[in-house]
Amino acid sequence: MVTAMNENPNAAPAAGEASTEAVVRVSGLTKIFKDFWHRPKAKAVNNVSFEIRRGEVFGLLGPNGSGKSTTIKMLLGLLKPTAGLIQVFGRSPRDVRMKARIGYLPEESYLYKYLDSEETLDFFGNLFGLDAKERHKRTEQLLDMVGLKRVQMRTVGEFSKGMQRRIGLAQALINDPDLVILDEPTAGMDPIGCREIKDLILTLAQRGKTVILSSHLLSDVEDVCDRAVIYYGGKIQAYGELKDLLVERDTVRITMPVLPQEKMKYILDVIRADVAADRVQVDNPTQNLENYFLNIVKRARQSEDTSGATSGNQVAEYLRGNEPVKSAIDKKIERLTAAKVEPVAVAVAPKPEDKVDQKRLATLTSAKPTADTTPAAAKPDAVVDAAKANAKLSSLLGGDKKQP
Amino acid sequence: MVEPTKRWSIFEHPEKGLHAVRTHAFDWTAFCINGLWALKHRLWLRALLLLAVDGVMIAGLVQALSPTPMMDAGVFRMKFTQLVEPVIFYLPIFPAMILRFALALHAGRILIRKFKLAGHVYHGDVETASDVQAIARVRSGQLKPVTDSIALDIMPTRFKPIFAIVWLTWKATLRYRLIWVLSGVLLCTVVLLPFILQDDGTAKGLVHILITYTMYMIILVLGTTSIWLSCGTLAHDVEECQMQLVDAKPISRATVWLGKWLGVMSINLVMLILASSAVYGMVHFRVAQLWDRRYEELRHESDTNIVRIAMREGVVTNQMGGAKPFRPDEVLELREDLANLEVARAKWDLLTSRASVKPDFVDLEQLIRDGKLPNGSWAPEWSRVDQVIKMDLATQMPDLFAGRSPAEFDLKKFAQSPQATAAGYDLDKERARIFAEQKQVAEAVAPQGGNRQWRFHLPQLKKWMGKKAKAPQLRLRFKLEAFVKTTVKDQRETANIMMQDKVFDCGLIIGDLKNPNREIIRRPLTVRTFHEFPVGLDTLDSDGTLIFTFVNGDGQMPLALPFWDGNMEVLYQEGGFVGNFTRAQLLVLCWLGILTAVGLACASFMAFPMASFTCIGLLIIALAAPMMTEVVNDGGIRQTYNMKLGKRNRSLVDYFALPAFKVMTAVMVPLTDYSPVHSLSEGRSITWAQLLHAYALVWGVGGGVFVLGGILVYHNRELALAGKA
Repeated sequence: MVTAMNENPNAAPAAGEASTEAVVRVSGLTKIFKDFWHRPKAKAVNNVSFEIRRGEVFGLLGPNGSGKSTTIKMLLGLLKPTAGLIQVFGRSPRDVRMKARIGYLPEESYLYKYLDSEETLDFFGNLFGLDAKERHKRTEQLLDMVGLKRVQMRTVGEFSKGMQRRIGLAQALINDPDLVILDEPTAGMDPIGCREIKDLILTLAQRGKTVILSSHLLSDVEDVCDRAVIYYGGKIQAYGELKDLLVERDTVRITMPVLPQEKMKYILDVIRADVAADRVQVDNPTQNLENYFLNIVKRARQSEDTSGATSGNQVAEYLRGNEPVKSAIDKKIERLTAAKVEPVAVAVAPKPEDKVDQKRLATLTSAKPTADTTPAAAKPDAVVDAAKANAKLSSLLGGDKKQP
Repeated sequence: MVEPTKRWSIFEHPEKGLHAVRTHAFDWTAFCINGLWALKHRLWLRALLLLAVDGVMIAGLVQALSPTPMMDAGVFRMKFTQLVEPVIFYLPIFPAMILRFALALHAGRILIRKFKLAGHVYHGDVETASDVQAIARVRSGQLKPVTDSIALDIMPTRFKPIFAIVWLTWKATLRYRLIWVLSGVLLCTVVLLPFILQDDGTAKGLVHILITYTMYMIILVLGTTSIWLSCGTLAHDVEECQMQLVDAKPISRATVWLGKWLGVMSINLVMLILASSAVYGMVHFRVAQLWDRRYEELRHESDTNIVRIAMREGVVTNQMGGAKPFRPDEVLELREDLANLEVARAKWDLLTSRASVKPDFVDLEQLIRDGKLPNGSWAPEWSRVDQVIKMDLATQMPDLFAGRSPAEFDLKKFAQSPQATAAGYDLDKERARIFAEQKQVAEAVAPQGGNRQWRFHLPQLKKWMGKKAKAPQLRLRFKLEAFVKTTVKDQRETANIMMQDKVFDCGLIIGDLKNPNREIIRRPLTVRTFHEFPVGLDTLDSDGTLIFTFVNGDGQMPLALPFWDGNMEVLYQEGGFVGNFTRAQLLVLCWLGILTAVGLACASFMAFPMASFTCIGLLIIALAAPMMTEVVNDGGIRQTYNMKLGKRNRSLVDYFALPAFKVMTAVMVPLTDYSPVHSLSEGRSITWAQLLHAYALVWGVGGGVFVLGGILVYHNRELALAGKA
């Protein structure tokens, strides 16, 4: 039984889609760090305003020292704003009752090194006032979820950084929070862990939970976030729907099975009639490294044992909930879990023996094949890869045009 | 017939496969046969501890239930088993029961943890008739274990967060092995080191030095540990950023602060129980050894000497035995009785809880202040009193008397002068003070060949009158002083020094002069020292009044018995040593409580090194309170006088130090008045009222300031500014 302390009177009404109700409201937020004599030392956050709605995955992006973590710490009441207003669930961030609805994963392991995984989760469960039975149940499920069940009797101090992140993530979810704040959740994690965290974020969003994700790994943000703010110098440089921010409206990509040479030539000729030859690009889509790696590990797990983190490959039962899956979210999950369920891109990818002869293709298209910029096969909606996103971010940060 | 199902926890080991274990919410087997239960489950360390505790408890019960005729007869043959039986009986029985209960409560979790440590993975629980069935059905996939384990939760929800912080503090001290180190240090300090202490050979001296040393060591070790632990537990959590994670949870900072305090205090409590049990047992053990030592000494004395010693000690009187010499078996008994007496003295005087009653005394100063003694009634004394005041003023402020003799000095005029008014000088108050002081001193002096009488009211002892058995022991205790009447300072000093080695013929009449049971003691007594005499209950009047008459048998020297400031009192046993010892430990705990609060208050806004440094500084200042009081009373730091001016030499530091010391002593002296060591080592009662008063003052006032200040500062602190982030 979940205790009264953890009961959520405003439980997410409609799972899956972001509602218009603001979970976090930040207005004119400014934080100036001062020295011992109270002289201004650094303006970490400068007049920032944004809103985060229930059920959305919200990204905080920016280079080091741009004010992301400071903003998060003000949201948690760990720092006091110099100016501006913060409301979390309509309350002050210092309100203790409000904190029962928040799960927080800091950017580094701030766990007690002398506690083992089980004790760590039990301790944080107690802080939420969970009763013993519920605590034990959640602890077991979370340890299974983050793949630390086999090493749960080892103290956190003995863990690798990635394992510490995993237990940190577990503690952030012990209370089944309505708002999850993840500061660099995939830092130090192996690709399996990164994938699992992204799965988890989407599952949480599917249940109507709100997730704030601060990350340097732009591909992570891109995979899961609905909206994002981009910080630079303590100010917001860009803010809005991620798909609106990233879409290249003057370019189209078509993915299809390999066609006979004549038909291919015909299609290309038709295209070339309207588009300059150097603007048409044809190549074989490649499986991305993440999917490839995950398949290798999946095979190895069946025969090898490990003293490190393992994975139950499933989100904790109490976190999954029983809500029906919304189609939009299904699509997202399918997109990320493509490697496990024979994703579309892999299905359409030619088998080795069917591969198009690159030389012949080059003669047909008169264009050099580019193997390094192939988009992820699991992302049919034309999301740009990490390099492109980085380039885009650089242009945004370097550009004069500043979005509100 | 349907077989009853039981609950089985399913574990899987990579090599050993599946394993089913029964786990319970409350394991009665573990409660009833805890040691054997631990042995059965191969929990060796636990089994050893539990069996040891059980052994002590059973031995204690057996001893306590068996009759002890010697004790009933009032003969204190301090054999080891009899001496330590209160320790065995009272102390372990409660921890043993708590231990059993805790084990039974956590038995399931202990087993689960044991399996996990052995590399098993817990899959959950299933319900089947037997473990074999459980494994078979899980293996075949018929039954899926569910992580819905039984857990008995006795902690109310609202206390879970604070309990979690307490538990965390314990876990840290256990994992960093502080508890074990501290236990070792404490036991070494209070059990092993006292064996090298030198005593004066008497049981009283031994007990006094043992209690004083061990209590001070307990306070020192636990006090410094409390400061170090309380500073570390909060400051480190803030510096290592763990507190950021905790603060993001629904627990107020005040709860965290109080949880830390409770955590450190619970550790202190356990350590204090451990150390005080060791001290208690050790003191009794050493006293028991002293019986053997004393008997061995007496064994080598001749029979004549034994009789002589016995007569001197009052074990035999002149009337006993008549003209016949003592038989060898009687001398043997006398030897035993003398050895008993040595130990019994320690028990009666120190290993006890004695209350004291002061003699009746009329506080004249208070009466005058309250207007109950009109000025007219003592006005004839004014001229004499004024002379004393003038003498004092002439010493303190010689400038006032420039060119005038004290007789020419107008005291009334001086009292109305702006200088005196500004200094708050009140002539009437001063007259009352000097008058009362002089009267008091006059009442203490027994002139040469004269006598002086005092009365003690002991109505609380009336119920014991006529009942010799189990009646409390009474003792009259007073300090004897002698004065040399000479105005020549050097002569006075020399005479005072010489007097320390001199004895004066004194007579004591204890009881009303008309009381047939009065005791008359005639004995030469030394001055500048305390004397104690046993008092029989039959010397008291029917209303519980004890009259004490002192006769100065010396024809040369007036003798005085200053009866104020605890220099004269009647002591009586009002309780046992166990109770007094327990209250003394509670007083120590009271002090540890404020030290912990000070440590946490400093750590609320400082880093660990600074916080601990500040706390130790405060501790040193607190320990220097008597010195500061002395400086304030003396009116300066320097202890030298300018003989020409007749004034104390002043220092520039006095201008800053005196006001600071006045403030500090005003705050600290009331707090430091509650020292358990002095009372315990003197066998004086620490009453429950005193204990409550100490807690109210030390925790309520002193501790309250630190707790509220610490919480307030910590509550407003920006936690994310500190530490590695």
